[in-house]
Amino acid sequence: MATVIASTALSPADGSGSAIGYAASAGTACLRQAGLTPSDADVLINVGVYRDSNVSEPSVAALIQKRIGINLDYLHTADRHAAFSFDLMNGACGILNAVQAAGALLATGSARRVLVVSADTHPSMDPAKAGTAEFPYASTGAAMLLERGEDARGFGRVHHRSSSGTHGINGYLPLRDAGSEGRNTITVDREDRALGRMLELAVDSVNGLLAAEYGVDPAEVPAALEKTLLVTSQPSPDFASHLSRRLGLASDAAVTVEGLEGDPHTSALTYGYRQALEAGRLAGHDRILFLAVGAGLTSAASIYRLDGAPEGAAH
Amino acid sequence: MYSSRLESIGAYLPSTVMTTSELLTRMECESEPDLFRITGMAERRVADDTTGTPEDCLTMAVAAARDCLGHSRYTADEIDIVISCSISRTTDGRRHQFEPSFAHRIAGELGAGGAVRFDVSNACAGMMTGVYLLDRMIRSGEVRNGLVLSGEHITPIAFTAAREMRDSREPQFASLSVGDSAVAVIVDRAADEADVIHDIELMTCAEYAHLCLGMPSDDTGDLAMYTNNKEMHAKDRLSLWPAFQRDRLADDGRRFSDEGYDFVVQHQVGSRFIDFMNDVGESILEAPMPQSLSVVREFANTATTSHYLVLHQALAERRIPEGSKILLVPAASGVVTGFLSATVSSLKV
Repeated sequence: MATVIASTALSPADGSGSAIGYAASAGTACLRQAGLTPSDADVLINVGVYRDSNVSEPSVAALIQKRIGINLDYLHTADRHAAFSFDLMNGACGILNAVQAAGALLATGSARRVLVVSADTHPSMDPAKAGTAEFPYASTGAAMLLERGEDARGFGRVHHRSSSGTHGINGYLPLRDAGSEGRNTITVDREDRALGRMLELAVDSVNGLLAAEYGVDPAEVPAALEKTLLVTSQPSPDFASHLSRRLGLASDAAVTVEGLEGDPHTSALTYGYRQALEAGRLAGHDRILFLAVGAGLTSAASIYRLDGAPEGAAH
Repeated sequence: MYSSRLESIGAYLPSTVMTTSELLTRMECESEPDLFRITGMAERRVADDTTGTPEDCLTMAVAAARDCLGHSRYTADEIDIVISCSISRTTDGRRHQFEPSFAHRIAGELGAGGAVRFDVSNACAGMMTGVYLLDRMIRSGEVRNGLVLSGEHITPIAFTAAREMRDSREPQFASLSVGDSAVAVIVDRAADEADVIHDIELMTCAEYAHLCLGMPSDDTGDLAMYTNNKEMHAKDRLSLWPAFQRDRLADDGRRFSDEGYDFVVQHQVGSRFIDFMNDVGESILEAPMPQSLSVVREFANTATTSHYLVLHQALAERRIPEGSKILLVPAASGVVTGFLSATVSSLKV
């Protein structure tokens, strides 16, 4: 029994620039598609990093929970159904940390369903400031509903890796420099060499995962990934194709997310999965390799076993 | 399925003490609020990040982690996961960090190279959320142990309030009640009933998520917090914890009065709040409250670290006999509440 994706949704481009709004609309659609109501979500995890007005308290997840309407007041709901929400942050890798944490909540019976939402925005909520040289991230969001499967389908172990040296990417609010503009200010420093290092770490992560899970030698990687679709973070528009080629695969073996201005960041894996699903690209694949590389540098990767009915089969 | 336990605990407290009257002298209020009478807070610690060896969220968290590891059977390289839980996340000269994770930087400083790392942000329930996730990951066999910690340099919100408040009824009043600290705990698999986490359950009643907002000030800058105290501390809000705990225990056929708690630690919002919480608890749970532990007088409200700082100080003062059963009750903006109960015997500081 493993953790399965029951439903996914992407936020519409509504121009609001609100990460809370993006995550809430994606989360609402995700539950509706699965034939569920908001009160069916037991735990809400938000893995978004860059948020409206740089709010630091409460969790952005609580503000999203309120917008979706998930069991808002324990004392005043008919069946005394409690919900729990929190933010989990680890840049682009956060979604796979959330998969791992959700797996523990599902395995221990602490939750039947965990809704993982992600969204990023420039804190000024001006969409024109997103996807730029100063702030490379797209203003968007996504949602992924996780449940416990009944067979071998689903996520395997989440493998983590980190590289020594500088952080590659450093995102922060410089409080002293921002003065009274702190709600509208963000700095994202990306080192010149960051993308190259991220690609190296991605290759190491894939090789390490395949060696650990299947005893695959690096020379055998292309054969081992023959029926595997790669869904990766998107630190640059050509990251997925570069990674495919570095692994000795066809350039479209990894999904390139389309239709966004900028890096979908914490939503990248959900975006890649959803767009592949809608394009019918999961057909003919046995597995998905989810791989994220982000600031630190850190990486997270996990094999997802498919059974031909990628969503909704748990119902 | 495994159980977890609190294996070790460590803390770091800045050496600078600021009394409540010193804090109030920074205010330009026409009538100073009687902060001591309302909160019971005589002083708080204040981090100094302006010196050559700065105290900030990162340095304090690392210092607390080293103290914790000093009491642990584990070395840093044996830690499976590091979860950092602070709200303020400031370092490198007042940069409020978003990525990489604080946990990544802490793991790097400690030499916990192989550890999974991520940050949790859940207002003052941050460390409780970190321990909750780690408990479930240990119980499911996902990890064997982990470090949950928070370095909380939160007093800048008090100074923002002092600069900006003109009236004690303003929404920044609660910001005056915070203090700086760092606490770290290592949680691992329980070996026996002498050291074990019995329950940890949390919930978020997001109807009230907007009642306490932390964000940069658009007036004089730096971090600020705006709280609707009246609504936040309405009796209905305070009733959430005891109703939730009563119901969760009842689901297992248990009652609060039979649990044998020796100590209760409420969130350190202030002495009056703690008394109110214990009163509401007694009323709804129909049982006397155990002895209530507190550090509000000396350390004020240290946000994410507060329950664990109370535990640390009580252990340091030898106030918790071996085999004691403790009850920790979070109350955080979100609104987050719940309960953690644990028996502690070998926890030493």
